[in-house]
Amino acid sequence: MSLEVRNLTKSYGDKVVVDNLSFKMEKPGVYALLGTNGAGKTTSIRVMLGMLQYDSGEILWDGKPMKASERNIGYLAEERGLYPKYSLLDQLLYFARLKKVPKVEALKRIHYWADRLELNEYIFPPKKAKGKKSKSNQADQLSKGNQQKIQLMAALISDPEILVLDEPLSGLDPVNTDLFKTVIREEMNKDKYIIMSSHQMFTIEEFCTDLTILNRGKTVLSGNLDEIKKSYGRVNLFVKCDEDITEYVKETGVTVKEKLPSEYQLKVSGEEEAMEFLKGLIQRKITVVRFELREPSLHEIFVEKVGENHEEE
Amino acid sequence: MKKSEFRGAAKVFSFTLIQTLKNRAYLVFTALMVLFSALSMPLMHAIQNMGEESGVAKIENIRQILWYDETEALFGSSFTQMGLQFTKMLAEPAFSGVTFEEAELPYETVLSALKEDEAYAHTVIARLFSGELGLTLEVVRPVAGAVTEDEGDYLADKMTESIVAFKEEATGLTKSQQEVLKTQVSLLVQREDENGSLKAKEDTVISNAQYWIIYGLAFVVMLVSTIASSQVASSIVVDKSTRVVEYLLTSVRPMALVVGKTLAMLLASIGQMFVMIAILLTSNWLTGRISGEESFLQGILPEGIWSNITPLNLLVSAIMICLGFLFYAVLAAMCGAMASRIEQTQESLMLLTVSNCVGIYLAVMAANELQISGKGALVTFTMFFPLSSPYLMPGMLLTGSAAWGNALVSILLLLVVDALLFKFVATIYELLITHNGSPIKGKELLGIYKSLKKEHKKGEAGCTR
Repeated sequence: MSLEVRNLTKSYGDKVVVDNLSFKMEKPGVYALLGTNGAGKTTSIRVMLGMLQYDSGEILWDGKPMKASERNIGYLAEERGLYPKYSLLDQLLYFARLKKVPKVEALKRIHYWADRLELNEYIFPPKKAKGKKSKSNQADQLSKGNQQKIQLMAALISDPEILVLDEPLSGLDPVNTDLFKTVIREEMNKDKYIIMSSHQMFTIEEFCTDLTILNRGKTVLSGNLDEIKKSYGRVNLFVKCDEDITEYVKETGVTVKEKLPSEYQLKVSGEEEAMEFLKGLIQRKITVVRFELREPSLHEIFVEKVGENHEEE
Repeated sequence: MKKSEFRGAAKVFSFTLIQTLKNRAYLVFTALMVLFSALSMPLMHAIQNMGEESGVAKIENIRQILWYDETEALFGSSFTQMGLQFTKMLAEPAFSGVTFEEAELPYETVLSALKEDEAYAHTVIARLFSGELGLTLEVVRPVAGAVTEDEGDYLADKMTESIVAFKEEATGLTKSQQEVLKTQVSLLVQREDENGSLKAKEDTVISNAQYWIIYGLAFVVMLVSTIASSQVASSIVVDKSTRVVEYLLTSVRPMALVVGKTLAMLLASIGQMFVMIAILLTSNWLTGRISGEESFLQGILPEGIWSNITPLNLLVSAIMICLGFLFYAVLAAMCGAMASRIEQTQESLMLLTVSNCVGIYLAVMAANELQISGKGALVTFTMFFPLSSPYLMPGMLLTGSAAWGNALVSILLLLVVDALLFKFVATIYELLITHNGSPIKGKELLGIYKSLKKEHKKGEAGCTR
């Protein structure tokens, strides 16, 4: 199975919001769609989900045109949505039934996910003494984090083959962030095709193997994350010493990216220059606490790419 | 439109219907309507009888009735001379102790005495005379006396009954026959058609009771249609403002959403209306049975009105009403989708409100025309105009003032307009439902429709979902 988007273009009137987007997921995994606000990520996702028509291009599942309504797709939208006054159980059952999950199976899955995400007391609230249900089984009685968990349940309740997560971790506390990450990892292990959009670059680096960076609808970078990083080379040098090396750094003429009280982040041309720098430190008998040469982070690549594009415009 | 566009509509329908029926506001409103329907008939019956009962209790303040019969000029001898007596009235328990005598003093003398003389505090003047309006019975009570207005009214009613009974006896004509004599002569011009049958130009003026039935039914249909339409619109705005719609659209097409929601809301509102009518009729029947008198509705509706309320007429009227509801509900769904937030709902419903107002005003004006001058151009237009026909035609059909053929043409026109509106909404709904931001203006809809038609053509070339 493969999921492929080929030359997808979508415009509103004269404004092109997605311009020739192409990517392919050859195998299950996590694909990242990155971009600034208004870059076209959510529109691309909506087109893939069949909410919007598109001007040109193709969306293929296993090489054939994909009809979103005929595929089992789970979606966690960026802007969370639940009926505030309906019971959570009713809503989840409704969402499951729309995804063609039989009622008994849906109830089983709701129980499973309620346990897994610690939502039992909200979905199945204990009855009050007089036999009336407490009000906490409505969405408007839940915290933002718990509402997000209910949304994740709604996205996963049909056990989808394609999972689209738009900013899945935004607004979560550290405990719930870890819980969400664990669930996403579990889904990855179930061989799901996951498309993730996020502004949190560390999260993307943690989960994604491939990515596309969009800026104002245009693709500015696309490919395998490791290969992209390799193409940049190991040019980021982190040095931490016991003594002040300001003078030595000036002598060598290496570019300083950031200076912390006892640590330097430097930009070198490659491994050779880094080794020369290290040799100099040793010759001066300076104790080196940390010496790390690595590829640029996704954050740096993103800023560089999107920045370049802004400058070009 | 493909069948797949409607996949999932049944699930949307059942969920929306169940949630609406569980909704507290819906339950409270239904309970209030049920209570109102159940209590209205006994209340109206009690109000209707209140005057008579209170009159009986207070007639004791009248001690003397002075009678002036000035009808002599009409027939050469007065009614009293011809045998008009109030024996039956005076024999009633309420009149015990009341003296009835023909006045000897001139009318003006007694009238001024009635104003000033305390001796006349319990005296009432009753005068029968002929004027421009025909026979008039005048009952005058003392200004500062103890006789109340209710007592005066009660006395006037009782004396009128005696006078009517005398007229029937004297002329040998019943009350209704006398009524017919008083009515205007209608014109009926007939011509012979090619088969030798007579074709008449009908007198299409409706009675006051028929007018109120048409008016009342139009009002009830408008009320239910407005409630149902606003519920459809707000339900769609809730989906959009809470962003639930984005999740729903991963499973169902926009058309399945609009169809499921609209039908569910309509069913809930129609159910409410049926419950209300059923309880109203039951309450009316029970009130009549318990009181052993004519029920309130029997009292106010003209005789023979039920002859037009046949199962077939009811069915055709129900179809018309449902098609009308559907028209306004689809319009409401479109208007609801034009808003993104709850606070924009009123603004986006402008188109629906204007259409509804045009429909009901036309229906009311047409009912007025029917009552004043019969079927004219306005009535004919309103009967077939889709915005107004669901309000006017059922009432006309059920009161026998519209022919079957007219109703069928109205239904056909409504069907065509419903289908066209549905096609229009189906084209633009997808864009509206995913639109966020400022509400879309009514005048922008046509532009959106045209551009989306172009996109759909592209879609047929491969860019579909």
